[in-house]
Amino acid sequence: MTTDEFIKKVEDGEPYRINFEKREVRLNGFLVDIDFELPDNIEEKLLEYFENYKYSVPSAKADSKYFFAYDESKLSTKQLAENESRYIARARLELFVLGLIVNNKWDFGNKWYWQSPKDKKLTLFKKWF
Amino acid sequence: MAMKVVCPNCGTEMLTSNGAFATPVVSENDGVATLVAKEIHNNNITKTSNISDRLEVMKSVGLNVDKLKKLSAEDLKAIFDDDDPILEKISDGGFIKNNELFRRWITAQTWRLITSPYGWTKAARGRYRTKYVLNQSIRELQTLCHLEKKGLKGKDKRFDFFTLEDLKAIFVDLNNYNHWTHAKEVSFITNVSKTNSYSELLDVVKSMTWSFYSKQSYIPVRWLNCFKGAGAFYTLQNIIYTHNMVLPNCKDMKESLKRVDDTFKRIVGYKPTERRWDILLSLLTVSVKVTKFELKY
Repeated sequence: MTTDEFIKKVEDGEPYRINFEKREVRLNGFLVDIDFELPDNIEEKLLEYFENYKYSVPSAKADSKYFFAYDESKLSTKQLAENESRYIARARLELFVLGLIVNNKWDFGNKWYWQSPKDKKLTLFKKWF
Repeated sequence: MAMKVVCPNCGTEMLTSNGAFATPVVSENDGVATLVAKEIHNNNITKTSNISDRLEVMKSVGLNVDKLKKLSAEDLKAIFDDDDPILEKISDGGFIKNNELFRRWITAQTWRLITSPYGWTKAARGRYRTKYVLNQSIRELQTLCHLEKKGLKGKDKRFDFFTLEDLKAIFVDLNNYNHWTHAKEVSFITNVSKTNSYSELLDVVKSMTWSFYSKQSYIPVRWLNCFKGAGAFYTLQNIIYTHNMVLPNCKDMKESLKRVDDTFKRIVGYKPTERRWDILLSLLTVSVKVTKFELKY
């Protein structure tokens, strides 16, 4: 299954679970094999997905346990009316990061984490990889 | 006990705010005794009177008002820096961003439904599931109970959208699709029909066990109608108050608010079972289309 197919199923309302530690993806409770395709501009794409997730419209139990996102009270009315659902935005972001983890595509240097210079809320941890 | 209070500096006689002559009584509002000069009290200055009117009255009494004046646009520029963002907002039309609007969530939901290419009803049917409808109407019932305890029934407009009869019909309708095996054995309908207030209905609804299939997408027509009314009304109000929306064929904010209120009263005049909230919704959709309005923040 490609990532686009997976996200189409999520948009239809199927429950999913993505786990970085076990490196597994579940759809409707069943394990799914996914072919990850990484783009050339990884860092830009990661920032784009994170921004999308950070300002997405919250709903019950939709928050990621790995990444930060704003509360409903911090979002403006326009963002509430026009942005994507948090449940779908989270799937996009976590699936992309899982692709990085599986392909081991990140250089941490000596540090145990990486923090984006453009957005300090975005951090990746070495223990995930 | 009558007592006369005289100001030691200017010699004006003072009155208590509730009108009794010179009796320092604790006022009912905030537990603080407030004293007002007799002459000013007689001129009947209300909260809505202009600043210039107030200044004239104070002058006529003999108070020193040299340091007080009504601010013009030029005076404001002298106070703020040139590149202050507040100045831009004032010249832009005088509204300032407010992220804690009253009923912001329903405004956002309605906006999303209006702007979708399928139209309001189709979009709502595609977007919401039966579980969501149940949770939403229970939450609405809880807030109405809360308002009822405060004694706001009849004053708050929220009671006009989800009336008691509407909510009864919605829950009876939803029970037909209840997956719980004993749902039809229990005399839920008779229990609901006996209730006379929101809190009684809430007790009956909470005693029932609710379960639906996760993809069950049946939505009661009654709920759609009520949701339409509440969404359209609060969206119109919020847009007009804080997003500088002016309805077509209206001059300003006051006139368009009055028009919304008039249509609201016209619909409430119908029987509670036959309220056509799509009139209010069409007012919203048409005026958004005609004026090509977009949310500002």
